[in-house]
Amino acid sequence: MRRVTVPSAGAVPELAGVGVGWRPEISGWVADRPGLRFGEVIAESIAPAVPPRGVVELRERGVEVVPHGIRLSLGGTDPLDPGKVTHLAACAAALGSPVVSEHVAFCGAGGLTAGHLLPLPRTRAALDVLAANVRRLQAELDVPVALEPIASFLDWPEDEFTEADFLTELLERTGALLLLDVANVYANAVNRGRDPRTALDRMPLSRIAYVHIAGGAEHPDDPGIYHDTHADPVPEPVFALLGELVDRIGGAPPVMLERDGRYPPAEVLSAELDRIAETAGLATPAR
Amino acid sequence: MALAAAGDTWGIDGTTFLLGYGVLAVGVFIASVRARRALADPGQKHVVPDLTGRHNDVAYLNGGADLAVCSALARMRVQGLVAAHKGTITATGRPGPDSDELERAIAFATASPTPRARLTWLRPVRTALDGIDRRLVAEGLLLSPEQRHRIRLVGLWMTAVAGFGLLRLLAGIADARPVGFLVVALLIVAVVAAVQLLQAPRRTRTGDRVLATMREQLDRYAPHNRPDWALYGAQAAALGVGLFGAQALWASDPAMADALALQRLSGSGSSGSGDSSWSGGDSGCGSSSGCGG
Amino acid sequence: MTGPRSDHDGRADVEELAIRQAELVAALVAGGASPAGFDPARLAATRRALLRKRAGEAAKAWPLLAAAHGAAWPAVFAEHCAGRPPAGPLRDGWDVARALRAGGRLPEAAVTELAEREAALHYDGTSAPTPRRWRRLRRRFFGLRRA
Repeated sequence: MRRVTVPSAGAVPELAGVGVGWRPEISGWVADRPGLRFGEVIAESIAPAVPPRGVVELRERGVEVVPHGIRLSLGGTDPLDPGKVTHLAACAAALGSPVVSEHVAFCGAGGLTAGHLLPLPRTRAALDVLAANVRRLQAELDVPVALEPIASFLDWPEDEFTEADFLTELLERTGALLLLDVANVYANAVNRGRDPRTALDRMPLSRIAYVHIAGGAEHPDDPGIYHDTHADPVPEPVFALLGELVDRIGGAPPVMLERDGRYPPAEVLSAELDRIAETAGLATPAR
Repeated sequence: MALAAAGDTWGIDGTTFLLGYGVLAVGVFIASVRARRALADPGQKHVVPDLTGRHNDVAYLNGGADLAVCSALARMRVQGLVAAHKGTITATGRPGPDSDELERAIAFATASPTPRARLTWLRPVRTALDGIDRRLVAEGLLLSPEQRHRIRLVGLWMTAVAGFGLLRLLAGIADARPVGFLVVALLIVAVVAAVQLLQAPRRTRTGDRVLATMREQLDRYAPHNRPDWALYGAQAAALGVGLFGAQALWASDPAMADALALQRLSGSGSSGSGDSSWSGGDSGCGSSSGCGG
Repeated sequence: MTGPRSDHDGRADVEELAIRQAELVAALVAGGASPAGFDPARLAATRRALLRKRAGEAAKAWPLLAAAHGAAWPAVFAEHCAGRPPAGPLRDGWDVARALRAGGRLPEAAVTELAEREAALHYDGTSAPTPRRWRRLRRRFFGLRRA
């Protein structure tokens, strides 16, 4: 078995500053954004042999690009799709990425796909499945993998661990890093009537590779439930939570905005990214 | 095939003549293509202008009057200045101070609902379009009617070759010699001559280069990116349409493209849609070069 | 690595996990019965959220169909696709368009869109659409061989 070296905190020195999720629809805005340090591409949306031009240009500018897998189903009991694993590794190699990321979730079971990331029961069995799949992924990668806990308002009755304990255990077993989405932490806490700051306290913050932040909103059909939509502005409390995170880790983590739709005018999106930089204690880009 | 015999037309046997005629036709053809290119390249006497802020001019340069109107409409629609339904346009707001003459003309013309296809023929719109045309000609991006006429006249060279072939053909027929291959060669030459006489590029070589450079630099607005016009803004939407044709709008905002009743570029139908018929300065020569081979 | 328990136990637990995951997915996207122990309200909200996401993706594949319904699109989509497993945006939208056409409720803009798709691709309603040209070629090829 491959020996997994356990990296220390901030194990991805190439990542720093403010980033953004690269999407073709907004590639011009990303390209014009001064001082951008890193970005993320949806691995399933690109061909490693011919990455999108906008992504190649980012690399030429020295902007790091992280492939972000969304369909590997690391928590699924069906065997990992070797093609998807190879694809993710090829993306990382093609982009010279310092790290790749995926989710603590499953995407389907019993021959059905859900079309989205679904939460796992926080049990020993789920940990076994996850850890085995993560190791299989790591065996194909030359760079570390960061795992992102998803936003969900659905709880399994068989949960044995808290989310934080579950993650800590998973990261310890696999040596993987944490991709912490503060909007997910917020969503998971408020949708269960808990304080997001307490949830943050328990997270294995020393393992953070980088941080996601995104917008969300309640949907009129589901009053009382906060949805992590990636298509709404980042709400105040999520900014506040990012500030809390910075206080706890005593420094500015690499942090990036995920926006997937209903884009506002460029100035508005730029202002949001400035605000993220400011909240994270990063200098607003001057270049 | 045949040895030179007393009965050969003009004392040259058919095979030799056909060979010589072929060499002549190809030589004249190459010369004519080069001459047409040179005439479409008036040289560096103009400073290459920056068209980034002139989306309707870009559209006109790329696809002519129709595409310029589409580009103006795309901008006005993102700004909420026009409503469109099944290709009928109605002004819903006043164009702002940053609008150009074409947009003001369209706003004026669509005070009552007007089909998009008719817009180019309405007087104020026509006047604005003529203004764009003059401007682009003056800047050395579009060819003037005189320049295009001169380019078409180059077709006379191939016409002369065809005429020469015709003389031989008539003489051959008079001598009751076989003329089948000559007829084929003559037909090819005649078609090339006709195409050259009828077709001339719209843009100068500088115009082609300006468009190519802009497409390269503004790839972000290309259809394959499905650019988001809410993010990029109305000006960018118009520029996207101008640079990449109506399919830019079909790719990024099909609802708008449908409402404006823009033509879709489907595989077979090249009729109608602005930019396929304007596919550039070399197309006339390029397509006829197929005949030479 | 799996802790103090025996391998057999671990495997049984994983099998149980597989069953529970399949139950949950079936309940969320395929009209399956709600698995025991989940909050029914949260299950329903998750189901709706998944449908909205699918509706959004189908809207990209069927822009005119979606635009013709405006803000009502997610509801129209859900009306038809609730309880049906996702078949990908192209097929999901296609199913909705056909259902609307059958009910005489297909908006005019979408009539063209559906016609264009049906001219280019053959879709039997149960498996991935195939290009019509291939079918025609294949038929001609096999037809010739048979003759």
